[in-house]
Amino acid sequence: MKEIAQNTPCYIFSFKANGLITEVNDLLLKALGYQREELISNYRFEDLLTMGSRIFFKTHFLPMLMMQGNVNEMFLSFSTADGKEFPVLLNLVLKGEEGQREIHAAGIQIAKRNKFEKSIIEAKDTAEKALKENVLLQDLKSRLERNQDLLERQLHDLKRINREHVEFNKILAHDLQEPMRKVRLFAGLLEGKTSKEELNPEMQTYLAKLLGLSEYAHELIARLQNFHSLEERMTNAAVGNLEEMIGAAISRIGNEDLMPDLGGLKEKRVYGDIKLLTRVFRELLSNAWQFRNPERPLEIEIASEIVTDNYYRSLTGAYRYMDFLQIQFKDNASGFPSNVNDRIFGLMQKFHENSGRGLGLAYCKKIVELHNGRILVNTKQIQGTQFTIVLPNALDL
Amino acid sequence: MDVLKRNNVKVLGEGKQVMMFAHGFGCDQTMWRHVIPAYINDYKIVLFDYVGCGESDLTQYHEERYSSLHGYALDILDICETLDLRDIILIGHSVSSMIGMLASIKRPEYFRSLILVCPSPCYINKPGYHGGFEEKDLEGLMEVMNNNYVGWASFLAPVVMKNNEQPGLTEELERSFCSMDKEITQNFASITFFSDNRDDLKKVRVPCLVLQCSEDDIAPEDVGQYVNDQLEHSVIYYMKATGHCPHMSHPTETIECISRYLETELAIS
Repeated sequence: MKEIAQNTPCYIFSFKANGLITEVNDLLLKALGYQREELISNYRFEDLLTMGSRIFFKTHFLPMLMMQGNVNEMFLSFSTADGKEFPVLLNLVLKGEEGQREIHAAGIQIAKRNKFEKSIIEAKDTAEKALKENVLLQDLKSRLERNQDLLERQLHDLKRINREHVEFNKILAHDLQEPMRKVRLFAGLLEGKTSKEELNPEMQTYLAKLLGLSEYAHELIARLQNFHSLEERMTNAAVGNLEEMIGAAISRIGNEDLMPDLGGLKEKRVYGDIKLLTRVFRELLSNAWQFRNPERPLEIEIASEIVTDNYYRSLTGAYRYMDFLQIQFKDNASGFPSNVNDRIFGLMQKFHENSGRGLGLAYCKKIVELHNGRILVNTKQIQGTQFTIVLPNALDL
Repeated sequence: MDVLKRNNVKVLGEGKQVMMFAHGFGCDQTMWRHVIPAYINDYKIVLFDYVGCGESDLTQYHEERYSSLHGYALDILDICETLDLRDIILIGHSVSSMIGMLASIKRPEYFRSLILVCPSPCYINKPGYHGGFEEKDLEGLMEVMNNNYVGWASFLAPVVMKNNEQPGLTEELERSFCSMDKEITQNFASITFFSDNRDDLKKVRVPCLVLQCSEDDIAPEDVGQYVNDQLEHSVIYYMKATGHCPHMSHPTETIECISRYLETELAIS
């Protein structure tokens, strides 16, 4: 290095792409308290920095240098041989091709200025904080007012809907069920009163159909009522064991061929109405069995995990991250058409022949949502279906 | 809300298999520009900036949302949902490897594989775990950041760089690198460096590649090995590249590693 570079009142040095120092002028050696032989090829540029400066250099300035070929007015602190902070302002420039890159640097000390700037920063921070708090308060106040209006409207609607629900339930339970009961009664009486010989075969078919249909309608109404009044039958939340619940669901179905792979159950504790949640597995398992692909043995994997997610699902712009239990139910049954998505969970939706009554998955969704959780589906026709159930991982939700 | 505008999402290339690139702390999507050309003909490339970085829509920054890496993971999931992406290959640098893992735990069906460039689940030393940093080191980082932002007003002045290949690009880069909001960047720094996601590694079900550089003191070799050991399906490639940003400093080797993984482990040729 030329004489002038050694003693020019600024710090001049070079290092390779891997950080190793190749050149350094006397002034910087003196400031840092090192001998030239010590530094050259033994120290990397970042080794000479304080830890905070090192991270910032590597995450900010180095990428910038790579992209732009230079960085100007970079504030960093060296750590001197005797452990003192030595703040500098540096300019860097990148030379050479990939593989032989070298970085040249020049800089000045900025200790006094830094002290001055620090006091400005502190004053600025204090002012900004006060301003921010003020803006935040104003913002919160208007948000609170808006939310209160919204809440009032929603409460009003909720009351109305609730009233309608109660009426609807009464209609299901009595007003609709009663005439149906009478239809069945009279049809039965008719069947009993008339001897088989008196009726021609056509009439006999009609009568049988009448009885069958009224029986079906009776059962359907009972199921709908059952579905509708699920809320009222929710019991207090308890703690359950996922593995036991799946076992209970299987023995309830009574099918010994159902042997889901439970190797992925990483978390077994479930909070909620355990009886209702067990029913979810009953529905999913018997669905998988019913619609298994005839070309291969049925395989079901159930896995569980604690995941962190935003608690607010309905409110937009609100965030609170909490732990949830995520259960994944994966089968290789015949799947659903991939365009059905959430319609799978709709009431009376049927996607297979011999589908039953189209209530099973609606039950699953309702039960999970009553627990303040959610259920998602990802299905591929012929290949299988994956249900993801997310439940709060606490008792009091 | 327009997610694609919010996250400055760019979709390039004609391929079918999606490759999404997620930038690390302190940078934006332009950091991938040396790697992208290698894949643009055969893949569909998705690039984005996290809210608060690069040219994202700063007005969409919610302090509460981004108070955790989970908020950044939501950015990735929002983009997947909006573009209806499935089975993507996510390449995440530094903190984005952790963000990508968190996203994959929530919605595994979106991801075919994760390529983790210099990952670390926890930067601070803990009992029985060497992350590489003490808390006081990170406080020092905050101070250095503070000092640098004072000088940043001058950064914003247009400086035309001498880059004969792509003159327009460097100018654009410089602008976007600098358009970061100080407070947002500091929040991002503190959740990046103070988060401890070690427990989440075991929850990842998607196959992963760990790209470990030599002499990386942000994410040292021990940490890369730890990540590889904790993950269920993972391989680790040790790179000759030094430092923390191999895709910028050693793009050739980085491309070579990614392609090797795609061919051997994922059987994509």
